[in-house]
Amino acid sequence: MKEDTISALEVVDVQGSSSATTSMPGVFVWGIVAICVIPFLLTLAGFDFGSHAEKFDMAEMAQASGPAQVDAMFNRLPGAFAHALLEWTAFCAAIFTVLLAFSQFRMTGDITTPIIGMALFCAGCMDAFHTLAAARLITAEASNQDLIPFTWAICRIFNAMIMIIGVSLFLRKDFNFRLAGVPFLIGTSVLFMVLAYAIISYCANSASLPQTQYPDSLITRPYDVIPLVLFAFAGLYLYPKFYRKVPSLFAHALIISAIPEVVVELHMAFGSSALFDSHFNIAHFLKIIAYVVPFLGLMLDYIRTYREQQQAHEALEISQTELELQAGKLKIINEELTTSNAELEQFAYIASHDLQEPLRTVTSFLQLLERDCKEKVSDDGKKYIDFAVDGSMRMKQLIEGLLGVSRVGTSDQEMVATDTGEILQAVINTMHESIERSAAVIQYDELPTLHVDENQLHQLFQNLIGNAIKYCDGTAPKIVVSAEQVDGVWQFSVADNGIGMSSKHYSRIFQIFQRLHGREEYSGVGIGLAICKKIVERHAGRIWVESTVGEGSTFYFTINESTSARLSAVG
Amino acid sequence: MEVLLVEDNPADQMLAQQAFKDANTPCTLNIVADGEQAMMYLRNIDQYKNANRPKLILLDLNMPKMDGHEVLEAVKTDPELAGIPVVILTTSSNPKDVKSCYAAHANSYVRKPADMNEFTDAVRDLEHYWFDVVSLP
Repeated sequence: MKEDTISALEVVDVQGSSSATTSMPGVFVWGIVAICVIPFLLTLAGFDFGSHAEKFDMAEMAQASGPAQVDAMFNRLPGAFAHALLEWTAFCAAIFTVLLAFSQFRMTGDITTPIIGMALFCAGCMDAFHTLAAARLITAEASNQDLIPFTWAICRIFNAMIMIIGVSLFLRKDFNFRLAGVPFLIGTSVLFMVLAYAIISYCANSASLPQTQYPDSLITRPYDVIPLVLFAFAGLYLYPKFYRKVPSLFAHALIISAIPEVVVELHMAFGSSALFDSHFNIAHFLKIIAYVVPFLGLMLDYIRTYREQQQAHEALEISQTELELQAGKLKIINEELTTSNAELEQFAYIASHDLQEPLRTVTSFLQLLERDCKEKVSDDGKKYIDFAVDGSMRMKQLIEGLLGVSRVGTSDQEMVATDTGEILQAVINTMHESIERSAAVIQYDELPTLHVDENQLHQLFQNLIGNAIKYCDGTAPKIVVSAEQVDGVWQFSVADNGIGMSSKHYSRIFQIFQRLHGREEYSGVGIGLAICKKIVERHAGRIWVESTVGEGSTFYFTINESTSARLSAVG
Repeated sequence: MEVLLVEDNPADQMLAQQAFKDANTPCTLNIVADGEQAMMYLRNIDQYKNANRPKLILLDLNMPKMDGHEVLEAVKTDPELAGIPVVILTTSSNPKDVKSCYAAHANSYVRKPADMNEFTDAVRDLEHYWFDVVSLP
C-alpha cells in the first residue's frame, strides 16, 4: 500500500504554492497523504474503528419498557448509522463540489470544471442511493446482506468509470475548448445522469444480486479490485495527462484525490471482510476525503482568482489615475504651446508691419538726398548712397517676405469648397503678362473641388508657377499642373522644364530666405517656397520636390481636407 | 485745388510735400498733424476759422489722439463733410485695414510706396485722377 502512495506522489509535482497558481500547496498534499495513512497505522497499533452491535435478546426485550426497547434496537445498529453518516457526508461534499464547479464555470467559462463536477455529482448520487437503500429508506428487492456490498462495489466502479470518461472527454486531440459551451455541458450531464439512473434502477429492482463479500479469501471483496486498478490508472496516468493539457488547481486536486481513492479500495479489497468492520469504516471515512480534495481545489482556485482580480483591479485603478494625470498635463502643455505659437505668429506679423514705416523713411530720404546732392557729392559718395538705397530696398523685400509668411498663419479665413481649377485659371489670368513675355505654356488636367482658403491657394499656385517661369534657361517654359488621389488624399503636382536642382537642396529651398542663386542670376528673396510650405501645412498637407538638373523640377503638394477642417476648428 | 493732408510724422509730411512739388501739380497742400486738428480744420474752428474746404483729403491711419479710422468715421457720418473724397494714405498693407476703411466709406486706399520716385508717380496719378478724370461735387 505504501508503495502505491509513494509512486502516486512521484507523479504529483509537490511545489510551493507561491510559484504557480496551478498546483496545490505542498503542505496540503502531505496532509492528505497523512490522513490516508494514519488510520492504517492506528489499526496496526491496535485501534479498532469497527462498529459493534450489542447482542439482542428477544425474550428480554419483550419484557423491557418502550424507550428501553428502542434503545436496544438502536444499539443493534451502530454500524448502519455510522455508515449512513459517513456516506451522507460524502454525498454532501459532492453536492458542494458540483455547485462550486458551476459557479466557477460562470466566472471563467472553463468547461472542464463543471463536466467533471457533474461526474463527481453523479457518483455522489449513486452513493446516496446506496446509503438510502442500505438504511432501508428506499425499498429494494434484495436483502441488505447482498445489497449493501453490491451497491458499494457498483458505486465505486461507476465513480472510477465516470471520472475516467469525464476526463477523457477533454483528452481527445481534436477537442475544441472554445466551441464546447453550455449545450455540450447539458448534453454530457444528461448522459451521466441517465447512466447513473439506469444502474440504480437495476440494483433496486433485482431480487438477487451477485455476492461481493468473501470473508475468508485474501481478497475479501474482489469487486473492489476493479476500481482499485481504475483509480490507480487514473491517478498515475490519466489525471496527470489532463493536468498537463489543462493546468489548473482543480486538475491538480484531481490527481491528489486519486490517493485517498486508491487507499479506500485497498482497505475494502484486502481489509474489510464484514459490514461495518474497522477497515469498512476507515474506507468510508477516506471516501469523504476523496470528495473533499477536489472541492478544496476549487475553493483555493476561487480564492486565488478573486485575489488576483482584486489586485488587477487595484493596479488598473492606479494606472488609470496616472493616465488621467498625464492627460491633464498634456492638455496644459498643448494649450501653452498653442498660445505661444499664436503669440509668435502675431509678433512676427506686427514686427514686420511696424518695421515698414521707418524703412520707408530711410529709403525715401536717401533717394531725395541722392537727387539733391548729385552735384555736391563725389563719385564715391554717389556709390555710397546707391548701396544704401539698395540695402534698404532689400530690407523692404525681406520685411515684405516675412510679413507674407506670417500672414499665412494668422489668417482666419474659413476653408470653403472651391474649384481649384478656377483658382489656377485666375492665377494664369493674373500672370498673363509674364506668361506672354516668357512664351510659357501652361497645361492642366481636371482639378478637384476642395475645402481650401481661396486666397492662399491662389498665392500657392502663383508662387509655384512664377518660379517655374523664372527659373528657366531660355527655352520656353512648359508647365503641367495635375492632381490625383493618393491614399485618400489629393496630391497636386506642378511640373516644369526649367533648370532643375540637385537632390541635396530639396529641403533647403523651403526655408525662409534660403536661395540657390545670387540676386544677379535670378531675382527673389527666398520667401516664395517658404510661403508655399506654410500654406500647404495650414491645409494639413506636405510639400516636396523631385528634380533633375538641366531637365526640370516637379513640385508636389497634398491637401488633406478632413484634418485641415479639424485644425481650423481648433485654432 | 485745396488738398488736406492728415499726417503726424514730420518725415512723411516732408516727403509728401516733396512729392507734390516734384509732381508739378497745381494743388495746394495743407497739412495737419493729427485727427483732432483735422476735424477743427474741416469745421473751421479756432485757428482754422478761415480755412478753405478741401477738395480732397489724404488721410494717414496711425495717428495719436484721434487716428485715421476715427477721422474717416467722423467725416463720412457728417452730412456736411461726407461729400469730400477721402483717400487713405498709409504704410499699412493689412487686408483688415483695407476692408474696414472701405466699409467706412473711404473713397480709396493707397499704400505709400517706399521708393521716392514711385511716390511721386503715385501723387501725380492721384492728382490726375481726382482732378482731371473725376468730377467732384
